[in-house]
Amino acid sequence: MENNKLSRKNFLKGVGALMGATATAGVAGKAEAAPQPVRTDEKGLTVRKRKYKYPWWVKTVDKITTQVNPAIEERPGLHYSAYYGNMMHHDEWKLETDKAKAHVKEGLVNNIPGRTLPDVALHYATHAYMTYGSLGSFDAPRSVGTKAHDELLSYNMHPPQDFDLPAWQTTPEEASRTVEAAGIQLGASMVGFTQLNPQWLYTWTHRDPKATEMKMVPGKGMVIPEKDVYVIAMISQGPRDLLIRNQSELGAAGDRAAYSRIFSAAVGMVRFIRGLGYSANQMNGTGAVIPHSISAGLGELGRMNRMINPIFGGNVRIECILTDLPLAPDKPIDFGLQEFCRHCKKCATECPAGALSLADDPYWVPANGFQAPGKKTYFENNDACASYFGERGNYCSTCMSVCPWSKQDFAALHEMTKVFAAKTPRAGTLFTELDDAFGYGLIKPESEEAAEWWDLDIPELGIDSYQGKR
Amino acid sequence: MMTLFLGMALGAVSIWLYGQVKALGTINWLGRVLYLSGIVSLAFGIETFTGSMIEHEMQAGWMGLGAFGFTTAILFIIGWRFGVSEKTE
Repeated sequence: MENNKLSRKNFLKGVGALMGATATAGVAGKAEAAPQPVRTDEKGLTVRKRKYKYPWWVKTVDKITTQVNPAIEERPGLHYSAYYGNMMHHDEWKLETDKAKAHVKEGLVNNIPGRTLPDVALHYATHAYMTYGSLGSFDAPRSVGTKAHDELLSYNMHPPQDFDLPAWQTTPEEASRTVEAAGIQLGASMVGFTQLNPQWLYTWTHRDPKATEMKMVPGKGMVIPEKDVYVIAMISQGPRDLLIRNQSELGAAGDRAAYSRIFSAAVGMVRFIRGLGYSANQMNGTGAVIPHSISAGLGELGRMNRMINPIFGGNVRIECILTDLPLAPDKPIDFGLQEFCRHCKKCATECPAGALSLADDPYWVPANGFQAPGKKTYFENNDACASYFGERGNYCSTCMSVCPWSKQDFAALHEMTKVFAAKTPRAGTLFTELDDAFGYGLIKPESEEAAEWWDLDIPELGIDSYQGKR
Repeated sequence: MMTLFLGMALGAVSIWLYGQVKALGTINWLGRVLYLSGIVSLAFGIETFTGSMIEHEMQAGWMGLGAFGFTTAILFIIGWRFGVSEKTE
C-alpha cells in the first residue's frame, strides 16, 4: 500500500519530466518554424513552400485538374467572361434595366424581406470598393485605367528609385513569403503565385516590351509591360451569412462585400509591389483570373465554371496582380473536385436561371459565342445568368453559396465531411442529400428568416478570418 | 472557453455515470468499448451543435445533436444489454 502513495519526491520528478517534455516540444517547434531550404521540382524549377499549409487531404499536382487542349485553345475576348460585356451586346439591355428598376421598386414598396430599403442600401454600401476593381466595373469611378485609379495607386507613393536606391533584392522564395504575408494583411484570405500564361490574356490585351505600365491605348486596347510575367493570385472569402440570403439585395450585398474586399486588397498589393520598386498592375480586365488562380494552387474549376477552394468552397472572389518581381510559383492542387462535381450537381439544380449544366460529364464544346474553347468543362448558359440578375438589379451568386464545399469550420463535422468528400468523391450525391437534410444552402428568398440577418451577431466584415487555420 | 467547460462537464458526468453502472454490475470489454464510443458520439453531437450555432446554421445544429445523440442512446442500450452483467453476491 505504501508504494501506491504519491510521495513529494515522485511528484516533483513528474513535474520535472513534464517540463522537460514541454521544453523539447518547444525546441522542436522552433526548429520547424525556421526558414526552409529551397525546394525544386522534377524539372529543377524552384517551387515555394507555401506558408499557409493546406490540410493533408489536399494534394499538390503538376498540372491543373481541368483538361485543356492547346490545339483548340483560343484567347478569351472580354465579352467571353464578363457578364456585363455580354449585357452590353444584348439588344434588350434597356428593357432589362427598366425591369430591374421595377423589380427593386417592388421590393421597396411592398417591404419584401431581403429587399427592403435597408437591404438595398447595404447592397449599395458594400458596392463601394468595387470601384477599385476592374474594367468589369466599366464606368465606375476609380476603375482600372482611369485617372482617378492612377491617382489612387500613386498617392504618397515613394519607391526606392525616388531615393536613388535599387529595387528590393531577394530570392524568389523570400519574395513569395513576404508578398503572401502582405496580401493577407491587406485583406486577402489566401495568396498564391504562378507565371503568366499569355493564352489566358483577353484578345484586346497586348504585351509591349517598351511599356512600363498598363495603359489603355485608344484603337489598340490594353497594353501591358512584357516584363510582367509573374502573377500574384489572391482570393477573399465572402460573408456567408449574407451569401446564403442570395436572390435578394442582402445576397447581392454579400457578393459585393467579397469583391470590394479583394479589390481593395489588390489596390494595396499594387502599391506594395510598387513600393518595393517593381512594376505591378491589376489583371482583371486584361486577362482571365480564374485559370491563373487555379494554376497558383488556390482551387479547382467546378461545375459552376468558377473556382472552388478546398477551405472556402465557392464563396471566394478573385483578383490577380501582374508583376516583374521574381516570385517562386505554387503548384496546382487536387482535392477530388472533378469527380465530386460529376455527381453533386447542387449548383446546377439550385441555379434560379437554369444557366448551369446538369450534364454527367464535362465537354469541349462551348455553349455559346461568349465562351472560349480549349478546356473541357461544364460550359454554362451565361446569357441566361446575366439576364437573370440584370432584370433584378442585383447580383446573384447562388451557385457559389450553395456549393457543399462552402462551409465554415466551427463544427468539426464540416472538416470531416470534406475529408470524406475529397477521398470518396463518387459519393457526391450522398453528400448533397446530407447537405439538404442538414438544411444547408440558401435561406428561402423573401422569407422572414431572410430578414433575420439584421439581428445576427456577426464577426467583423461578416467573415471568420481564422477559417482553415484552427 | 465554453467548449472547455462543456468538455469538463461531459467528462465529469461520464465518470460519474460509469461509477453508477459499475456499482450495479460487472462491465465487460464490450460494455466499456460501447460506453466510450457512446460518450465520443455524444461529444461529437455537442460539438456539432455548438459549432453550428456559431455558424448560424440552426437546423444543422439540431440535426447533428439529434443524430449523434440518437447514436449514443443506441450504443448505451446495446452496451447495457450485452456489456453489463448483474453482480451476484
